Amino acid sequence: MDKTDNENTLGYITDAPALGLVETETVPKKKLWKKIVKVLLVILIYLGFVPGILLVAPKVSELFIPVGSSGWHASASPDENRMKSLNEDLKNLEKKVDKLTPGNAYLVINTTENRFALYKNRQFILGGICSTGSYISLEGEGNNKWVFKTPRGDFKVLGKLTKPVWRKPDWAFVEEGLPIPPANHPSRYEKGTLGDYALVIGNGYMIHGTMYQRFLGLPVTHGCIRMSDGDLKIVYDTLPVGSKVFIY
Amino acid sequence: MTDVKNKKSGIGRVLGFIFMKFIPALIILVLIAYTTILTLSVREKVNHWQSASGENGDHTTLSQDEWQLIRDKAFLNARLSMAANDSIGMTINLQDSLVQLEVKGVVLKQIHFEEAEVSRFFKAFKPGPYVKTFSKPFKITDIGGTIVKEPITIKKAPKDSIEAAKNITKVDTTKVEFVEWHVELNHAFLISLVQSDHELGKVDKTTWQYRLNRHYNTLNGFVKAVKQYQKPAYIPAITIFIPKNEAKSFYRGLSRKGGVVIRL
Repeated sequence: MDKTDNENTLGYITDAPALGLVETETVPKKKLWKKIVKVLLVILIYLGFVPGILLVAPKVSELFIPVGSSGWHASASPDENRMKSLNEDLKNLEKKVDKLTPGNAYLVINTTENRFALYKNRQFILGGICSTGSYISLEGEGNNKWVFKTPRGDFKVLGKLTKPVWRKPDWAFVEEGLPIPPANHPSRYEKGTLGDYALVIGNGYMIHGTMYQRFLGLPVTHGCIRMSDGDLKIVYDTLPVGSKVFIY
Repeated sequence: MTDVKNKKSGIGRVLGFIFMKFIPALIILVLIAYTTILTLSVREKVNHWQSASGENGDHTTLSQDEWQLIRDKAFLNARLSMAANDSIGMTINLQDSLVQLEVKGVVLKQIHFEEAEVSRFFKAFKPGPYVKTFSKPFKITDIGGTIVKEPITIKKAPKDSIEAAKNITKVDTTKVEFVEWHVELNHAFLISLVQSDHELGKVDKTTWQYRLNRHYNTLNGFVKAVKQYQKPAYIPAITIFIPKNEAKSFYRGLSRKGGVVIRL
């Protein structure tokens, strides 16, 4: 239908009263709303494509999965023999799983939160903050590189030391910008740095004290585990040689 | 002038038809087709896992108590099997709402969760396939998250003690991050652990990048499947919401070589 001079671009009749067509104004308004709704719907379709693929389609697809016991037959009364056998199996398995947890004392270290938990007779007896590896990768001259991280896994207390003396490794000098001395040079030995006690867990790693108590709870060590004097004393007294240390 | 107007309105009509009718209709058709194909893919996956056991699970008649014991037994068997591995693994117990980190069968960390979203797929397991699937730990085939697994900082060795004194590294304790990570098991299932406490770090740019990246991979898979006339992959998921610190500890503690045990 061709537009008359009295119509604007949206189809409104501007001189409607003059033409005696007052009633007709409501019809184009409806048309306008229809157009708006149509445009909004189209926009919604465009915007909904990616969420539809990623979120709606998988949810809808899953609705067709038969759930619960509908795929197999559930009975109200249990089979006595099968139940007995299952209960026995379960008891045996529970025993086996229980045996895996050490009955004596053991220590658990959380390197992410820098916290420790001490257990004895399967009971939690002490927890607190400690310091673990800083995750700094120190790059020296040539291909020399040291990564200061605490190893994860299960370890054993291999030895216990009182008044330990720290034999400084090469990285301790490199880190301080000092020349590396010969293997048994007196400058390598430091008293008091490791606190009053140390528990050796292998590969050069130890659980020991620290002069920097303010850093406890932060990842600042070169891989060893540092504890406060009080906590270290309890851990030292509780864990005999051979005890497990779990680090995660 | 009238010709130009007519030409313009002609182009407008064509464009209007393309953008207002043709493309929207195409989008709806693609969505319907995709949903239908995905539904078939889901069915196929369900059938694949349901036929995982040699026996026919359809004819098993079990009481709810027996079904419970069977799941308990499968869980313990899987934990025992995982204990043989030296690496740190994770157990997810949906029955008791517990997530644990374990090594050699020793529970290192345990957290009770309040909220979890479990794909309907996991509720469809029949006893036979369930035992076959969940009596052993799953292997980790992919792991990723909004935070780095090992936050390594590279530091150049100082030239002398003066430079060393200047370059003392300070630990940044002010960093706010949102913790969300996922682990893919046997290329078949997906477990996500998401920070539940939003006041300790809102969803940030890194999190959006991580989520977009995951969505991009899904879309990429969809496009690849369409190109090769194959069904898009369906990966059922379990999402668990736990406190931020726990989510972080679990992510950093879990070994890539470790297993994951699930108890539905």
